[in-house]
Amino acid sequence: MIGRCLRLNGFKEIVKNVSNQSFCSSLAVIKNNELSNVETSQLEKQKIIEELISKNTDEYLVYDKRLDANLAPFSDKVDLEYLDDLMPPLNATFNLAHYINRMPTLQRLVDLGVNLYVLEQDREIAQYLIRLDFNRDIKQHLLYLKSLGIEDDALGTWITCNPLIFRESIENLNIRLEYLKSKKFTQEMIQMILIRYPPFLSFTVKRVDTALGFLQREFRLTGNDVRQIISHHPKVIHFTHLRYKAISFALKEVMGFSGDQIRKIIVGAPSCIYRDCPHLEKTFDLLHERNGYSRELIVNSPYCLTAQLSMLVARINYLKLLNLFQPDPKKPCFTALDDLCVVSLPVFIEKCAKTSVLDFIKYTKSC
Amino acid sequence: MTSCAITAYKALNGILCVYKPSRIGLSSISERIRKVIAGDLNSMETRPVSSRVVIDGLLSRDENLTVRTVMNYADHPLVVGPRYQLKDIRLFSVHTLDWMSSGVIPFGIGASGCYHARKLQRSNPIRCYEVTGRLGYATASFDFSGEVREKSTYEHVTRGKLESVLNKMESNHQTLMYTTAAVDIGSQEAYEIASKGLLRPAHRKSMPIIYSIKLIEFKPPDFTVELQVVNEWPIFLKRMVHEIGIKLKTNATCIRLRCTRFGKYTVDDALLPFHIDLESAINSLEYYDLKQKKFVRPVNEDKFDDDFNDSFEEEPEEAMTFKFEQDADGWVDNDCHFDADRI
Repeated sequence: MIGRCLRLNGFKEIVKNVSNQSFCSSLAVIKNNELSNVETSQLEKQKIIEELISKNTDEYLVYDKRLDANLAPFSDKVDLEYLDDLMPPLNATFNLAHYINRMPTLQRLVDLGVNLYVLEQDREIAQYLIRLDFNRDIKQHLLYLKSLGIEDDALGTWITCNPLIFRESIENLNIRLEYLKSKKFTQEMIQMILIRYPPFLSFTVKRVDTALGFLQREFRLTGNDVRQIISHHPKVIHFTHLRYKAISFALKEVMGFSGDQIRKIIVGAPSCIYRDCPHLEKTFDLLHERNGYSRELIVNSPYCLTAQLSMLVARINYLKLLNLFQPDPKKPCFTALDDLCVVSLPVFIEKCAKTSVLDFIKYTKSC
Repeated sequence: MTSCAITAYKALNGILCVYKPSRIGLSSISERIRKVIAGDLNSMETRPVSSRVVIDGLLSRDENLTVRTVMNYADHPLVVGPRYQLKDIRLFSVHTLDWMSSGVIPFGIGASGCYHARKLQRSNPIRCYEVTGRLGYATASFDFSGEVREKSTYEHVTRGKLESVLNKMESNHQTLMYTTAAVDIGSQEAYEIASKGLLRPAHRKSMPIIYSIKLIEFKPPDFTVELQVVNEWPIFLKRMVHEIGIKLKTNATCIRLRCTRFGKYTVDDALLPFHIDLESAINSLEYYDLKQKKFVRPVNEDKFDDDFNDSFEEEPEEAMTFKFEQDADGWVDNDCHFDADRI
């Protein structure tokens, strides 16, 4: 019982103190209209507060009536600056739309075309964006990005892809670009890389260097090959050496390509690295084992390995039904791999099947 | 078509008939329909950004207060998201088919469309299936995707033996019709119900009833059967093929399951999921007409087909007839993505 009473007493004191504290803070904001009066009244208040502090050793102040002498409810003295700043408080929300009318930085980002709806799905990024200031954090980076050759219309989508660019210092970004230049990437290549894959600038030099080294060593590429792959498919950097090793194992051991053929496949279709190994094995199984396309043909048009399986199966079965399917290039009426996977549907039907699109639709509805 | 998204969204109310291909899940199809329709709606003219009232001027500097309206950033599509989101498009699938089976599925779109789709589901119409079985082996899942558990010879199976087995099954199920209708076969009431037409089960979820079984094609080891069923589910039909195999003293596995008719909706009305966009969906939608009190197709019924012909190729005079593909077994595709252009 004693402990409980003590706790209750302590609680009451805290409530008193907290109410006083908030009261004092509001007192500090509200001032008088006349400057001389303000100074004198403030000095008086400070004296009273100092007295109270010297009396009480606690960190909380005790309420004193003399402090709110100027705050009579019907007095004519109104602080106008306080009125200007008066507005409803910002509550906790689930999205940035609640805050945006009070945040000029975010408004300017929206004017640029940044999609805040996508960015706010990540809570940390949303909290990071709120703290930004346009002149302090963003302006220099935008000018820098423009100098790199990114157009005004593309800036919004660029920042949507890589919102954490404002965290990096411009010196760091310069070092990363100089690394690319030291590896003999031309200015056009660097522009292409930045436009196609905005997160590229956030990778450190060490990370990029290891990725390029592994890529070159794993597939035995020349320097020009690496430059071509990175400039056209910079997303390759995103994957670690484990993925490169898995892809080269699948191509060499499972599918049985030679070293030179693997190099040709990777240079011709770097998007193989995006696709997972089981998909590559399935397409190879379908084309080579089941339908008899030779390995040389697959190497010559490597994009067929990344094509969609359902599309390949539908087209091959349709041609088989019409007795027009011929995987051997030496015989007449040969169906090229490009026709199966690269060409669009109407062209494929005109060139290979020689029927109409409606017939193909009827066929797909019958199976 | 109008360019206003609101009228197009209001027009999206009715029943849309979709053809589900094999090796694709039903949820991915409905997801795709939602995505495509929402994307098309957002690319049209949507609601403009609203404005808000701002009172400007500093009291402390003795300025006059001015009232003006500015753009409300809180209503901008880049801040609150696109105007039409995936959850705004209500979809209700009347029929359920599993991953390996293909066929017609009516979808209800919109509020009233979903309501009438539920009504259609409650009315429990007859479905027509084409089931292809392969003799000689049995798998764990009764279809081509499972492991092979048994193998046997099937040379002794003839067309006559198969037909006799099917006829026995059909007659057994026809006696079931009277038990599910909850009347005695010999009574006057049973006669009156039967004279009106087909005997339907009294309760919707009673038990599966096969009204007719017909052998369409018999090319050993494959056979194709046409079924008119009520209250079925895909595994029931696969198990039925398995039982046919056992009665023929071999094994049989279902390699193709295709729903050709759901009530009055047939394959010809159905749209392939990778050809669905907003325009084709609205043009082939069946909406409920309050005056006629029945489902009506829009007036420009043939517009979609005409556009399709103009954009691609002229239609030949004689439409080709196709046989069903039988070589597609054994190949399993786990990635089921659609591609609008290619296929």
